[in-house]
Amino acid sequence: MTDIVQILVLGLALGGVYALMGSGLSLIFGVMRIVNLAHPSLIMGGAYVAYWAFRLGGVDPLATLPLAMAILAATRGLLYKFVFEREARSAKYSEMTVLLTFALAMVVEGLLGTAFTNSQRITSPEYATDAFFIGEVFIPKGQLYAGMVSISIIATLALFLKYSRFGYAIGATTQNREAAELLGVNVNLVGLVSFAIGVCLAGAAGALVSFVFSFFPSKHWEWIVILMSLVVLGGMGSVLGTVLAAFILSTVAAFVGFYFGATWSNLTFFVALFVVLLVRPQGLFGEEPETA
Amino acid sequence: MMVDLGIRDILKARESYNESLARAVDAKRAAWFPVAVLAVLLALPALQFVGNFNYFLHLTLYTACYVVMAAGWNILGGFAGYISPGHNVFFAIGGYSAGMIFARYGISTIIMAPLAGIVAGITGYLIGLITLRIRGPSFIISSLALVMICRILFENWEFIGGAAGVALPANDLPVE
Repeated sequence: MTDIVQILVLGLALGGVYALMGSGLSLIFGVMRIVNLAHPSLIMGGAYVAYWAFRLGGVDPLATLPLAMAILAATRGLLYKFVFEREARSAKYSEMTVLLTFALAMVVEGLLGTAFTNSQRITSPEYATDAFFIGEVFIPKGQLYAGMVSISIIATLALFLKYSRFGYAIGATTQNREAAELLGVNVNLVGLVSFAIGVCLAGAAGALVSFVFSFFPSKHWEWIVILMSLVVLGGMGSVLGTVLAAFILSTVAAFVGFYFGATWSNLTFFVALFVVLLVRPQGLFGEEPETA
Repeated sequence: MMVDLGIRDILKARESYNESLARAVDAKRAAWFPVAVLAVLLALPALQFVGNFNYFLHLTLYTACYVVMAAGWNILGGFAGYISPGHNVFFAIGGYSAGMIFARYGISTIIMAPLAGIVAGITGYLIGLITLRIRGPSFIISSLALVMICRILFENWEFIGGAAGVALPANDLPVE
């Protein structure tokens, strides 16, 4: 019994971090129709910002969070202007962005690898290796804090999307780009801002990830499929669905890891992706996808 | 004035027109070029008797491998419009099946290459039954997932050597 509670707690704590990692991706896909394969490599960028701030200045990763967000937000304007805007009129825009971001992910990976070497890094503030005990169950402080910060960021995002005027505009653009444009929404601005928010979330997730997982530049290939499985299960473009999917899948992965060995826990996400595409391609809250 | 044209006459006219089109294309295409490339490629292995061209041969071999792989991708991505980042999975399956047979029974990979192709083809057919039901971004994502699934499976499958890979028996050629 304690085992089961323990696994549940660990799974849910990780779920918070995955939710933050996935929600930026989901937002960018929903509004911009960009399948951002480079998202995890941007998360990796945020993780490196947090790592060097911690190593050189002793700054707590939680405190570097805004810095990581700002640095990544600065790169997004360049990215959008030079990479995505040229392709915006292409008929196969989504497919083109996949190829573009695939290349972008490799470029970022190469740059990070050249600048910071390919060795495994992890920031180690004191709480990262500490834990709370409630009876027999232990709760690792690092994952707990990361999960809590993630959830509060996502809650802020959800409130912003639900109650602000700009949030309405984002929602409208997600649902129907042409109709939103007809009603006077500046869809280009909305696109740019939601891309910026998505990349900011990547930066925040990076700072949190830096003390939850050890990371190295090419680890983002593993993350991309994990995040994509969240987005697909949640329904393409639905932030709420992604968050829910993150909690469900990371809990299942924690159980798989406990009963079959840690190697197989990531397989949960990949197999889930296949099963979802097979059984319910639109995911939990998504719209019907294009079928062959 | 009415011209009495049967269906058969129209078909015949179309056929001869198509034939003339095909002849026009054939005339533009230089027949000697592929033949010359093939001759050069067939002659390349002879370089090893002349001097030490191991690196060059190795490079050519790999280039040719990737050309075949890219041409295969073009059928799926170019003609059918399924952009698949998971194409290398079938490269791996072919490599593993031919490599395993070579490692266990000593049958050369050159003889086993068509069989490896068939194995990869059957696997591709089975996977395609699932993934080809969807198009667009979802398909691309599913084929990325395929890469990760295969990676985990191959790294943990002891029978085919796990993360260390298949060890092929050493040949008796001198190493320079």
